[in-house]
Amino acid sequence: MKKLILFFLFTCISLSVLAQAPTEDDYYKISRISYPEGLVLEIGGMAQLPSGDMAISTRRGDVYLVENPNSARPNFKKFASGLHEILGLAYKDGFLYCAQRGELTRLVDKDGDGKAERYETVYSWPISGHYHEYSFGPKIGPDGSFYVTGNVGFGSTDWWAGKSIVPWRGWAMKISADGKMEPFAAGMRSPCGIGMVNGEFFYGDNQGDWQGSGFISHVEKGNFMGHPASLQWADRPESPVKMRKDLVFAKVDPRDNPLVKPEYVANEAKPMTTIYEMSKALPDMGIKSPAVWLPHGVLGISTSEILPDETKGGFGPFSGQVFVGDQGMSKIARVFLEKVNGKFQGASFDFRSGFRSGVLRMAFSNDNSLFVGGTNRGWGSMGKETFGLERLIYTGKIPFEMKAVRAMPDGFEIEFTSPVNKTLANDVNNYDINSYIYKYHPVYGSPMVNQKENPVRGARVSEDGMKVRLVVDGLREGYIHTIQPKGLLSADIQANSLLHGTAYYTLNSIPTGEKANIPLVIPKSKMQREKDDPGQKVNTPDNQTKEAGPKIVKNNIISDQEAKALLTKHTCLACHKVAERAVGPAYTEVAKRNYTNAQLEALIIQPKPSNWPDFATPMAPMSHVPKSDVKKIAAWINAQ
Amino acid sequence: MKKKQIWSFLLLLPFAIQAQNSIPLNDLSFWKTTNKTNWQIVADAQADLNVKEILSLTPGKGILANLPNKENRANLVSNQEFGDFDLSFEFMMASHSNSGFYLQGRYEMQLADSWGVVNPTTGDCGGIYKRRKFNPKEYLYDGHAPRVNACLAPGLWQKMEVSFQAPRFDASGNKISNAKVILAKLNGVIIHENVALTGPTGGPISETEVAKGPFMVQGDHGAVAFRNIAITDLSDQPATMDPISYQVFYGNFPNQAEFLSKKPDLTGITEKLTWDVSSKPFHYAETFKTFLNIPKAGKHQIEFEIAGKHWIKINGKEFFKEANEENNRKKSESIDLPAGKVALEITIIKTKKSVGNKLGFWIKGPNFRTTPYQSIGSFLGSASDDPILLEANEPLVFRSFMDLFKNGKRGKRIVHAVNVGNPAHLHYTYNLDNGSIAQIWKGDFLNTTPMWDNRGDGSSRPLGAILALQNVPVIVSKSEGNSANDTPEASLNFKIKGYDVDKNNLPTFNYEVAGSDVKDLIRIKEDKYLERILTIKNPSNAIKIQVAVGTEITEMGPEIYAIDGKSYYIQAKGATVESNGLLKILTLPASEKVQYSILW
Repeated sequence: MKKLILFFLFTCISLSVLAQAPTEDDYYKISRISYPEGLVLEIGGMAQLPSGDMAISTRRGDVYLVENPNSARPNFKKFASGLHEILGLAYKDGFLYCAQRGELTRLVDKDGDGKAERYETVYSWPISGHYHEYSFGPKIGPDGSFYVTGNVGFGSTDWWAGKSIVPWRGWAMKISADGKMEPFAAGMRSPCGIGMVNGEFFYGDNQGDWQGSGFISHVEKGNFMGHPASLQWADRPESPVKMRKDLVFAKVDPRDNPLVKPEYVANEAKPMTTIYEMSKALPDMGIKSPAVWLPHGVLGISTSEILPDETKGGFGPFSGQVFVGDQGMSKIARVFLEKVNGKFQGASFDFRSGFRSGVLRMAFSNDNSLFVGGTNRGWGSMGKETFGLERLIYTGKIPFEMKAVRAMPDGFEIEFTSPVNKTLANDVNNYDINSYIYKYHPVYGSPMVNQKENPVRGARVSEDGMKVRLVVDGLREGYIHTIQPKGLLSADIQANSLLHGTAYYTLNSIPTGEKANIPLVIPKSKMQREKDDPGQKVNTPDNQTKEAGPKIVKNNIISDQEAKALLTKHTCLACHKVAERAVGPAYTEVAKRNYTNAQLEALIIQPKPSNWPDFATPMAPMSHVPKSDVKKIAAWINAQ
Repeated sequence: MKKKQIWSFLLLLPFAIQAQNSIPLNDLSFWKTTNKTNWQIVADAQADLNVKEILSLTPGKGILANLPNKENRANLVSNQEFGDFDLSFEFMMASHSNSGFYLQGRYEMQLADSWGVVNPTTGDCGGIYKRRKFNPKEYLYDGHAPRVNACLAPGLWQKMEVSFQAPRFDASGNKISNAKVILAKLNGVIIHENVALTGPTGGPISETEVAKGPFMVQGDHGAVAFRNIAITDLSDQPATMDPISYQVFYGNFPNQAEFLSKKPDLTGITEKLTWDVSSKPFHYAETFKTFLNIPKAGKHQIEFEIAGKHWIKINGKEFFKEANEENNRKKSESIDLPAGKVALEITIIKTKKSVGNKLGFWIKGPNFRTTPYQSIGSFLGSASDDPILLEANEPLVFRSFMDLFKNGKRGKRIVHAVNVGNPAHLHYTYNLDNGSIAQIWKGDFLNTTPMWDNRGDGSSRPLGAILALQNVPVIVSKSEGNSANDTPEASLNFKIKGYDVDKNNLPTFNYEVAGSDVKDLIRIKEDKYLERILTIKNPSNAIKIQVAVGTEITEMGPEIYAIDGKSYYIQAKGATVESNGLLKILTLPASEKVQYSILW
């Protein structure tokens, strides 16, 4: 049996060397959209029109109708102009609607010349004029009402502390067609990503104060999503939100000192808590913990558009799932949602990286290609351009992916996009599962805390090879479960590894029901598994960074290959590039600071964003990275 | 007569000592006497928008006015002569009038009624007039048009500010550098910067250029009035710096003690300050020791921008210390310096490669301009980001946050602002939160850099001369018409509806107030002024129109009112001036159609 596996492995290694490992680009192609020279298309809104035109809106206040958008040479027609930093666009019953900084506006072409003559205020909301007070939307609810969200501002001396300076900043507002506004939900910080999924309103937030990482959440009337600044207005008569600031501060010290920025403290006086625990401790307060976390630095750093795949297969095998954009990492993540015990939860996966600028908005075109537009507008992004307008096109080939992960009473069920090699799938040693969570606190971001291994005690693949049922020990509600079927290969002749090898399952609720009838086994230790991890030897996108190469070690500094692997593993490369400015400074620039290795190690574990005032996004503490890895990374950075 | 002259001489004495001096306008003693009567000292002047070349004068003191006629049309020439100076004055033009302020009696800043001129030339207000040559036959050349036309309506007080540098001559009297208008502003807008003047413009007191010359004001062209004339004499030679002895130490030094006791790696003498005496870009320390020669005791502004930790000693005392190597922005400190030799010592430690090298050092004296003491290479200056400017070559309607400035201070931020730009170079900001015209400006349209560069702060800035209006609702209730409040009265249920643009992209604003639908149409007329037509559907009896609010509202003639000391006019039929405490309010009764104009 073992021989057979080995033989199989050798075959697939030689095959993959011949055929090249598949990449995202083999399945989903990014194609730049041609536009007239000189336009500055910092996209803030996108909406497909019934005519097939794609309407786009820009930070510079223009709305364009992109005619014949799926062609090589679309026509750009300016429909409206002079609007205030539009960050959302929607079409409803013949009209385009957009959120400006300070109002929801209806654009009306009265005389049919293809240009708006009426800029009608549907609802004008309070705004203080702080730079960070962006407004997003609208998304249109099943009842025809508009949902818009608003960022918090910040303090003047305490520039790090999100503040709701005027009513309904940090809230979602529901606005009726005739302009009546109803405060809908509170607790938002930077709610750039909103979306309707099967008629339900979802929102995503960015890592920041009180938000340990990006995520998407289901938002219902009266919900509190976590950021307490918005609760300033919770006791107004029109507020449906029951949650109050003092209830937050009873559990978590807000460290509200305008002169001292709260920095990460590993062991605070009060026991740490999470937003999930808050929701359990105060069950009647409408606290909603994320439906699905998007781990910071892995699936994103600044959550944007939330878009369900309603192409019925036209865009690939993920119909009904949700795509979530990310500005800082210039990528799109994929989310599988399920409802367990009445609440949403599910798994997030990597989907497609490599867009030219920050991904802000997405919309499907009528040929089932996905229009992707965005900007990094001063925050920096992995895609270096200041703006981008691209299409993501499904090639028709099915990637070997975890299509879905479902929670089970005693574990998980993984569904694949194509049959998996059953022998490998039935071996518990081919899975790595661990769990962790982010802290709920006033500090910017959070390290991953309370990490724990979850041994896989049983694995049984379905008859058709499309599903595997896992029995897992130590499942924890309110935790993110990182599921890595490291050793699996596709059943077909290519014997591919999973295109993306990790699922992040947010387990809000363990379903009740029948347990799997699988004989339980004791898996090998993690060390042992890593030693003979077959996936490691296969040339896959995930493994390319670990790819064997000449290991050049000088002065005890790890090789560039090894460094790249470590930097990827610990999500450093989400924000840093070696020689170029990205979200954070280039490693070469860090090296110029002449820190000692010990100083740099300390700064990785506990960063001082004040050292880099030119960078907008502060670095989160990397205290969860093993010390031995921090040492290696620091030494390598200093050698750049 | 003689006595008076001595007295006036005494009055003038402070010129030599004080920095800024106002020219007394109680009499004509500042000026050479003429035998003509066109120049007069008066209390007030008033123009008629529709009558050319005429100012009506009120007897009294404080204003210098020129009312020329056929016989009396003398120019006015100052007794005192000036070299380098900053000059500012306020002026008022009669309709279609023309005058000029000659710097050193030779270089004319044109004053003219250029109200409504879209593309100004050298002959328009703020232009530097052309030079004149007679050979082979008369022709004009080398004038400088103002960048924009910032000229206001006749009869309004306008402000001119000029920084001038005299031509320089060598010992034998040959000109070695041209006269220069370093900066000129008209009504707060920069109209010239660093313009070299190759020679006297047309009509000078002399074609020969000199180091010092008098002011001359043209009196032979048209009616004009002046007030608040102020001159800062900057003719002193700037402080000089002796040759500088320097020491360079190489190493990664944490503080001064680490190298000061060591033997320097390099020593020498340099004529000008430069960090570049070190041959390494970092891991060095430098000391510079020299003497400044201060021409006149008094307050001096020391400015410096230095990369690295640095210490500055003046006369042996620590004057400034910067311990953070990253904090290398420009700093400015004021200090009293005695005349004569003043010891200066600068010490720099630079350890970081990432910080760009620079050493810049400037002094501004009581009677000399900011002067650099470094070599050009030592301070290259940092390249600023490219500005993002929005021109209104066609009518534009543009939303942003808009900060209102009053007397140079930032006031309220309008958060629902619509800026309306016009190719006539006359623009305004409409406040959607109260239906007011919050400000008007003339010049270019918007600087959108604050909104669109980098993260931005959502705001744009007007590019031009700004008239800040009161930013108060135009429709108020008769009983409670509270002119100081920018928030609409709750009882009127103000609700903004947006705006419609016409074929030319000109907007009409729509809102609801006091149960009426209101259409607010504002148009630029004759490239000169704003006409506003409010259409109010079934206006309530309880409301009135608040046209203007100010501390002073004067009826100038039929249907025309000057607001706040002639800073702008309102033209309205059937208006009433009401008082509310210290404020004056110009009101109109509410009707289906309310019309008035804002002239500025």
